[in-house]
Amino acid sequence: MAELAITKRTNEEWLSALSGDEATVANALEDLRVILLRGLKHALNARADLDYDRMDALAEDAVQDALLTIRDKADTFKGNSMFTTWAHKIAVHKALSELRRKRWKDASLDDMLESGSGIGMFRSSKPGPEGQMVRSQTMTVVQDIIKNELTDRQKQAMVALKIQGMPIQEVADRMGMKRNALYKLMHDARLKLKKRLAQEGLTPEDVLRQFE
Amino acid sequence: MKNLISRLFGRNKRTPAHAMGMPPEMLKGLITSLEKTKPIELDCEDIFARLDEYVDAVLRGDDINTMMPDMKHHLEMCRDCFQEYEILVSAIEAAG
Ligand SMILES: [Zn+2]
Repeated sequence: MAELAITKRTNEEWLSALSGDEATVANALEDLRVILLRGLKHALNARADLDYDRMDALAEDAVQDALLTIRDKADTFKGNSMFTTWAHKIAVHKALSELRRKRWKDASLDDMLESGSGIGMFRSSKPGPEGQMVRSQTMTVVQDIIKNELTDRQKQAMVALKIQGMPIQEVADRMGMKRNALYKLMHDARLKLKKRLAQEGLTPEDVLRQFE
Repeated sequence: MKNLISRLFGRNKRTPAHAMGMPPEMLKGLITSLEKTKPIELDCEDIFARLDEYVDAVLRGDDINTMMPDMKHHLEMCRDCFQEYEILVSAIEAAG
């Protein structure tokens, strides 16, 4: 019943405990471990979309890893939240990063791009079956802009993110980019597309109507 | 002339997007995200830096729309950050 023994601490108390003597630090980290693990295990196991059969072990590793970061970076805590919220944030990030890494470890960007749903779709616009030969003018404009005016890297990222559903960090790692830079790359693609549609006299709503 | 042809040959009929190479889900997702695209957006690192502050505000019932609209906007745009946000909320609630 270790849970009952946890001392409630204010932010100041957490910070001072973590900068205290060895025993005080160990005691605070142990309390924090129990709190983080209880939250993380529950949160991860409650998600149907995070299908992983060794979730509890993964949560334990993530919390252990988070505690090291928290101990080392406690002085970077800005005090804009509860200290425990900040600590949970670090544990959740570690766990999700690991889950995403495991889930996608065998996925190759090159394979994705070569596959039917890959980059090939941007190269030619094959006519569809007989009954679908007639094209919507609007959709042709949209697809031509995507095909001809976005960069290869923007198209690559789009396939991996939007079609394969790969997490942004995983795509970034494979493209040799930081997560931030990849977000920026896609943001630029959206801005470009938006601007070009406007020049063609189209609003996003006009285009979305094509899907109804 | 083009208009006439398109009227005669039914170009104005809506064609399913999948007839044309790019998967409709991708196009639809992309175009939907254009409606919310802003000239300047926070990136994923900005979100991570302030996610604890944001979540505490949400849990307090603060008016996020007014206080941190850019954070909220990114969470609507970014699947991964949103997942992180949801799991963080759930972890905090479960930890008590
Ligand atoms: Zn993000």
